[in-house]
Amino acid sequence: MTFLPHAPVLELTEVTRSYQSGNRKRTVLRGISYAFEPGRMYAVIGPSGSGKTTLLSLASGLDSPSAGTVRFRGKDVAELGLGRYRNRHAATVFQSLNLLTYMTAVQNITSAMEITGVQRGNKNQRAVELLDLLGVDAGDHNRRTLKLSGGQQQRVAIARALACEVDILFADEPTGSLDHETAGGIISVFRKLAHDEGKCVVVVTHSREVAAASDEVLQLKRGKLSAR
Amino acid sequence: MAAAQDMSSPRVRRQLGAYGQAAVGVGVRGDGAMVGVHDRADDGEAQAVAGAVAGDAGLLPVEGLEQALGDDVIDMPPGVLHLDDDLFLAQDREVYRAAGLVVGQGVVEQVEQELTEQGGIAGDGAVGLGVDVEAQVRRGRLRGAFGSRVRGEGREVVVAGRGIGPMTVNDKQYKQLVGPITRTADFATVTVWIVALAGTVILALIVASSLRERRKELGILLSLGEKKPKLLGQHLVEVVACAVIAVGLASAGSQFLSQTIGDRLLAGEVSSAEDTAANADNGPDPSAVTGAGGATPLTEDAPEVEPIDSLDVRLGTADIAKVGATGLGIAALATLIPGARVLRLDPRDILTKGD
Ligand SMILES: Nc1ncnc2c1ncn2[C@@H]1O[C@H](COP(=O)(O)OP(=O)(O)OP(=O)(O)O)[C@@H](O)[C@H]1O
Ligand SMILES: [Mg+2]
Repeated sequence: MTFLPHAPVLELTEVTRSYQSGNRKRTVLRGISYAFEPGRMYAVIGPSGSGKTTLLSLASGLDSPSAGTVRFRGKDVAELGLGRYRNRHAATVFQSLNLLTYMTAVQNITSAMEITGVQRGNKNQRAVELLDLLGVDAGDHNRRTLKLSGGQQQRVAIARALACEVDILFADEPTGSLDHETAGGIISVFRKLAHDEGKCVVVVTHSREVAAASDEVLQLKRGKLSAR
Repeated sequence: MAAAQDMSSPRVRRQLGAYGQAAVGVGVRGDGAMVGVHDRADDGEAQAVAGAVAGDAGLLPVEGLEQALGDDVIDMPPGVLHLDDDLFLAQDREVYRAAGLVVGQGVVEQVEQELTEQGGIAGDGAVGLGVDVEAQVRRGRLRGAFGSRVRGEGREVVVAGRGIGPMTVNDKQYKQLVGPITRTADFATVTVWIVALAGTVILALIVASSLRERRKELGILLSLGEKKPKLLGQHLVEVVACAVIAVGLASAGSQFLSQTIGDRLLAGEVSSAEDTAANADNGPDPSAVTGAGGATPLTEDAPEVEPIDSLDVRLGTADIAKVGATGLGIAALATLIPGARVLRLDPRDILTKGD
């Protein structure tokens, strides 16, 4: 099956998510509908606590909406299976990184390739390429990620997500602990991923640079998502 | 036959009354097998019993025995014992034990000798004993013991009881012999259960805590789309691999350990058994099977039997397989119980909260 270049790869329809805390129900997202297209980079901005991470969890198949649907290439991800969706089609760079800290940078990447079934002859070599691309010093490739700095860990986490070679890349504050220059490098990696490789990139950010580099800026406010 | 007359004599009846209306004889053959003789004729005559035994064939060559016993038979009160109805033949040691006799060739010889000294009959290397088997049967203790019934059609067996009368037979010696082993075995069984149970609980707790430590890791793997059963399976494989190594080491070490510990335990039991035996010597033995009006209680002079005080511990392949299977079972159970939590893990909760 082939897809039109602008047929949405990810579609949110009336997505609502509420959390039960005690006997109070808090609705974080209220009926959000939006279509994400391949080959584009999106920035999601909004104040802290506005539900950006929640939105990303739903879109990346880590969570299910209280109401509404999330569709990947027209198919409800609940039907596709959230595990399968995450495994084959979506990758996430978490706000809290979530690296396997007892493994080296390279091992984190190769094990993820293993699990997601990436067909690469030499997975180690691919991992090294990605780490180079993101500017992680060769000397740090085989150090346990526990020993790496926050910025280095962040880049390893991004490299791991890139290694999975999925259709949609989600990143939650990927440049939070990076300096200007390194952040700039990462932004251009994301842009290339969208524009040259046709992936859909969705980045949650507070950074003006990231927002400015995106094709679309979406603001999340009071449970609603709106383009700016 | 002259013998028959004596059957109805009050004296005989009194004496035989101890056995009940239906009297039974238990014969201990020289080779340790046993022959039971039973008369259930309901004629009110206290037809009696004695154990009588022939060489190999099982049942007595009547004439031969008569001849062998000769005049003694006629002379001896309680007299000539008449057997005319049923014959029971049992050759297994089951009967023996049930009748309260001690198992073991050596003991048989002792009893035999004792009886002979007391004026009992030991024809053809056999002993005649009068035991209240009927009562034992009634109490359910001898069920099935006299399994093979032989009808002595038309036989008349004449054997002398020769003053032995109702006799005390007890299993004291047998109990003394096997007591330590029984107690050691009981102790071992209980220990095995406790260890297995405690092992499962402890291992389950360890696995649970290791799973808690690995929560984050499991969450990360789940976020990459790894399947939950596969994660659980991997964990199981790890634990089982450890269990296999453990069982291997245990089999190697346990031979030595069990021999040492077994000997120690047994030594403890033996010394306490000896204490008990020493204490019980003067008191009545509750385990004794005593006929009423016992003329010559055997207990009194029964030689003390040395309790079994050494064990040869050997670990067979079957034992190792059993232990191995148990060990693996414990490991699997201890993994799967806390592992159920893995199936309930929610990767979003684990991953979207800060470190
Ligand atoms: N598991 C949860 N249970 C209950 N409430 C939750 C849960 N996760 C998030 N929330 C609530 O939902 C709201 C949105 O949270 P979310 O993490 O999506 O915000 P965010 O926009 O990502 O914030 P930040 O910019 O600080 O990362 C918050 O008020 C938070 O308290
Ligand atoms: Mg957030």
